[in-house]
Amino acid sequence: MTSGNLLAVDNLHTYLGDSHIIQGVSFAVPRGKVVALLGRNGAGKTTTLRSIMRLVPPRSGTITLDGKTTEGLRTYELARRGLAFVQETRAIFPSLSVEENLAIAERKAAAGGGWTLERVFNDFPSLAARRNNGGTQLSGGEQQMLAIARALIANPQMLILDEPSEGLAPLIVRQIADLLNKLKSEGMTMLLVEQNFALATEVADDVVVLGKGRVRWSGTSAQLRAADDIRHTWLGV
Amino acid sequence: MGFDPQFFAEQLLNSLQFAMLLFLLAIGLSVIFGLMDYLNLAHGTIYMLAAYLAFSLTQLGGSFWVALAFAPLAATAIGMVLYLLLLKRAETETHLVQVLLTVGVIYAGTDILRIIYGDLPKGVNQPELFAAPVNIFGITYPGYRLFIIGLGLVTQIGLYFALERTRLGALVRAGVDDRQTAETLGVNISAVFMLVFAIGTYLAGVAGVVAAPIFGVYPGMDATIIILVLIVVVVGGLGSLKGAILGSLLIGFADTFGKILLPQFAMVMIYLVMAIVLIFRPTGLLPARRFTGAG
Ligand SMILES: Nc1ncnc2c1ncn2[C@@H]1O[C@H](COP(=O)(O)OP(=O)(O)OP(=O)(O)O)[C@@H](O)[C@H]1O
Ligand SMILES: [Mg+2]
Repeated sequence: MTSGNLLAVDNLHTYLGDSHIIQGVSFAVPRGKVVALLGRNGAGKTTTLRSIMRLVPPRSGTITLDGKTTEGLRTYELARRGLAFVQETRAIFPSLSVEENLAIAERKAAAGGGWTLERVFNDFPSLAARRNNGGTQLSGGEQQMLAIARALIANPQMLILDEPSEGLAPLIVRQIADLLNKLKSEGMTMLLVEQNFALATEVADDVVVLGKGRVRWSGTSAQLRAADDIRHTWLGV
Repeated sequence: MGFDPQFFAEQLLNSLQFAMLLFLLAIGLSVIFGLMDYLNLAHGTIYMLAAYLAFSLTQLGGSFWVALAFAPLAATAIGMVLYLLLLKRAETETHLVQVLLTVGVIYAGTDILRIIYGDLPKGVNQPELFAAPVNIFGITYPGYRLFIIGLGLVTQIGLYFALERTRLGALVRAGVDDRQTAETLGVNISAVFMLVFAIGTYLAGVAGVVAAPIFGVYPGMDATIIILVLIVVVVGGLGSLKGAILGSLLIGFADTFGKILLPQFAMVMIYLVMAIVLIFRPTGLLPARRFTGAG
């Protein structure tokens, strides 16, 4: 059933320098579903996401988007084909205002999605109040909201999020969980990397557990909650 | 020698005029580096090439204005071809490789132009429109040099608005901040870079044409000025318009007044300015944020 998969990663191998970091990872993200990619520090989660976005070149393996290989595509072409990547560092441009951070990412998708500058400022009032501020004058939580809004305004087919809750206060983490749940209910496909087990299993339909560069387990969120040994061995929770 | 206010005013204007010339060269070098981490010293060759093209155009009967209209464009076209065929190969190499390659281009360019035009300096007449001296601040000052000051100011203001107020400017700033993230948002940074490269190269060509009536056109004129331009970029800070403006003003003044105060050691003044700035601000006075070291 590959036709239902928006993104499919098959036998991915990636090296950083001489280190073989991703060692044959395969998983798929079905359209309209949320898949969480979990694993301990250094498991290779970020490297997997960066390989999908071709910010690091995979050594081998195939990655398909919408059934078509992404081989030979550049990062910006993947973005234009509908992959929106919210990085672990949030990566807000310090030289750009909040509004400019959003404006350079705005794109109207054929499929629609309806995200515009107005809608972002309507749905994220804290960003509207600071639209002319420098992007890095925001608090950590606001920067994360800006990073997610900047991904949405491209009206992507799929959101790829790298630890959106990292380093944020519980109240903000709750807001982010609510936002992700809302996006999910609107049908947004997501690939979510998280260290926050509760958040990840609350939002995700399916979970892929990475350990030392390989897939160690995969199943549904409910199955993972029941699989104590997997959680202890590969997630430490 | 007592203090002569008229002499002083004249030197101030000379400093300003030289600063504008340095700026026209420095802005391209600086933003090309800011966007792509490419240290392109062949930028100087474009300056010299445009000056020679201006000489040829005026020899063929064209006016200064014809030369100013076409020589920078032709030099830009040649610069783009040079980039795509040769310089691009060093995009992912270290700065040392880039310097070696582009210094090689400087040598080759100088020799090629020497073979075509010979060793002797050539002249380009200044435009008649600005031939008459102008009375300003109680002195008579060459109109042509005022024209260069005006051209520099207009360019700076234009670039400021382009960078701060347009979408393309925001893309350039984003690319200088973080090229990879800009790509993840769908920005084709290579295309933005080629456009920036073209504009920077064009301005270097403009500098070559407007410098020709003052300094003359000779083989090696690029090496003389590119050292100063590098210092401008280092002092001003990498990748920023404000840095290039401030750096060129400082070095323009240091060069002009250094030649007056210490005629035998004109460069000493410049190195002194550079040393003082770098001791207190190792990344230069107003670098783009990526180069402030604050992350
Ligand atoms: N430039 C590099 N060269 C070699 N190894 C690297 C390099 N960068 C990262 N690594 C290693 O690659 C492994 C995977 O890193 P990655 O960032 O993908 O992990 P992660 O699962 O995202 O971890 P975290 O939860 O801490 O973000 C780590 O063991 C890390 O030490
Ligand atoms: Mg990570």
